[in-house]
Amino acid sequence: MEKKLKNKIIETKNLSVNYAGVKALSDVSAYFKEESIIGIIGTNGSGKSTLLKSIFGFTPIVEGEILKDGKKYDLSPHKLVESKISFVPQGRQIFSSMSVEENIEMGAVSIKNKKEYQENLTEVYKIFPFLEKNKDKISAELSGGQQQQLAIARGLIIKPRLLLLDEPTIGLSPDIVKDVFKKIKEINQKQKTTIVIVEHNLKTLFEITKHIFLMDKGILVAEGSPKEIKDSGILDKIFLAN
Amino acid sequence: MDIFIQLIVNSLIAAALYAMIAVGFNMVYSVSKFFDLAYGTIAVLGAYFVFYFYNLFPDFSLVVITAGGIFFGGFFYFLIQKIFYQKFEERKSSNVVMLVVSLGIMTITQALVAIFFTSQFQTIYLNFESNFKILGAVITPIQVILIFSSIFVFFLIFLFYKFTSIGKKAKALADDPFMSEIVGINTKRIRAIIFFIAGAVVAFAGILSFMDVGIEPTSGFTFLLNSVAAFIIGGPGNFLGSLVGAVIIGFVENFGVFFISGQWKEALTFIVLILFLIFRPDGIFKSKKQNK
Ligand SMILES: Nc1ncnc2c1ncn2[C@@H]1O[C@H](COP(=O)(O)OP(=O)(O)O)[C@@H](O)[C@H]1O
Ligand SMILES: [Mg+2]
Repeated sequence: MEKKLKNKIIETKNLSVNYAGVKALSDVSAYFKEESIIGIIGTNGSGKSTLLKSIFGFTPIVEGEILKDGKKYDLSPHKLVESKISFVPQGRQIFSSMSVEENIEMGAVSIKNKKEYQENLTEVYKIFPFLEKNKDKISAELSGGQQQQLAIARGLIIKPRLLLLDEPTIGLSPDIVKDVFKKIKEINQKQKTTIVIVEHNLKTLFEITKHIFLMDKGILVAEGSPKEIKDSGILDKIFLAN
Repeated sequence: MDIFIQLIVNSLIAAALYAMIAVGFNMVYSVSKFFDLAYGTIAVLGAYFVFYFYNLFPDFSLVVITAGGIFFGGFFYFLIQKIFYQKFEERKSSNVVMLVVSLGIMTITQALVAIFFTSQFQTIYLNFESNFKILGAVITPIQVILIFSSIFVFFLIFLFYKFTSIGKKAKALADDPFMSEIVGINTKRIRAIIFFIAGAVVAFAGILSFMDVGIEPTSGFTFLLNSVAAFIIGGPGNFLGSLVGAVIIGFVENFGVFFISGQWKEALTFIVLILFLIFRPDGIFKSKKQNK
């Protein structure tokens, strides 16, 4: 019951998105409550990435609205980052020609205070020690798993209130997946960061989330705790049908 | 023998000019990813600014008027970006649309310059001391200034990208526009600043070229052609490459004109450009490391 009192950092209301006339989201009403870990699941092309991208203003919204702390907001990405919302998009997105530390520095352009940056950097390095060891390495030379962790570290450097992770473990070996999930949990607990995670790996995801949104063909078809979602039998219906 | 040294000197003078223009073009391309055909006209505007005010106030300091022309070029380019390019960019217009828009801006600006100043070729008389002689080659004071200005501009641009926060953000924007937005870089602001700087650089080049040889409203096309050629030879985003490209064009032009004929000047630039497009489309230094 206490959960209900938590503020919704982001809420979409009847959100519809069209890409050149093709519906990618229809009538999606989702919300991310403070301090929780939220999972978004669904088959390929079901609109998970589109939902996250919409929050950052990257998609053509045709209907509905998105609220931040209950209010409409300026959908320009740099304004969102300034309000401590980080997005780690799908596909190991890093500045590959830059060094590890330069990548993290780029994530911190919204931090004007040098001391604050240094403190955050120390914390991020504590979570990802190998990044500190390789801080001068050109990031193109890191392994896939390391690049993904660099992308997450880059998102963490502003100490976000809300961290949006789109398929952070895709293509990583099971050991590293476990490690990344452990770190996500740790970040959520220590820094009270709200984390939204789009993930294919349902078993591992269900272990760390309390709330799941299930998408199918641009529609939000179910939401609830992992147990509720599992018990409803809808997972089989959607994942086996596709 | 003397003629060869003179040709080498002339090539280097041309290279110094083209390098300046090309580096500005490269800066703009790397943050906006389209070929701005109006770029060369900014050089013309800078030159006519100096022409106009120098004739109006002949006793006024030429250095100050030049500084005014540089600022004017930067500001005008900034406005073009703000009023036109940014709007089309927001609509996610294709590169073809951007190209057509910039062609329109080039044509209109050129026509306006011709209306105000006639299409006559204009020169400026500078009361300098006599020319220099190096190993038998003649070099005028303004050409010496041109070479040193080019080196100076390159040095400043190097410092800008290496050490300033805006420069680093511009590098990130060139590397990956989507990620730059994601990390919270105000990409509109960075683009605007880069257009201002590039406009100032190309206006400065235009002013120096005007002082060296003169200017006419259609000179913008020559500026554009040379910058595009040096830019393609050097490769997008590679400023040192643009410098090398400028040197290549400077030499091909001057030696070509000497051995063939003056009418071939622009055709030669095109030939070099096309050869590079065929054999080295990603520039002379295309590095294999870049994996994007
Ligand atoms: N930039 C785009 N332009 C056109 N269609 C797109 C674009 N991005 C995504 N889509 C389409 O929108 C639908 C949802 O895609 P996406 O949100 O990426 O799905 P998911 O992340 O769940 O795999 C898909 O049908 C996809 O093909
Ligand atoms: Mg996706």
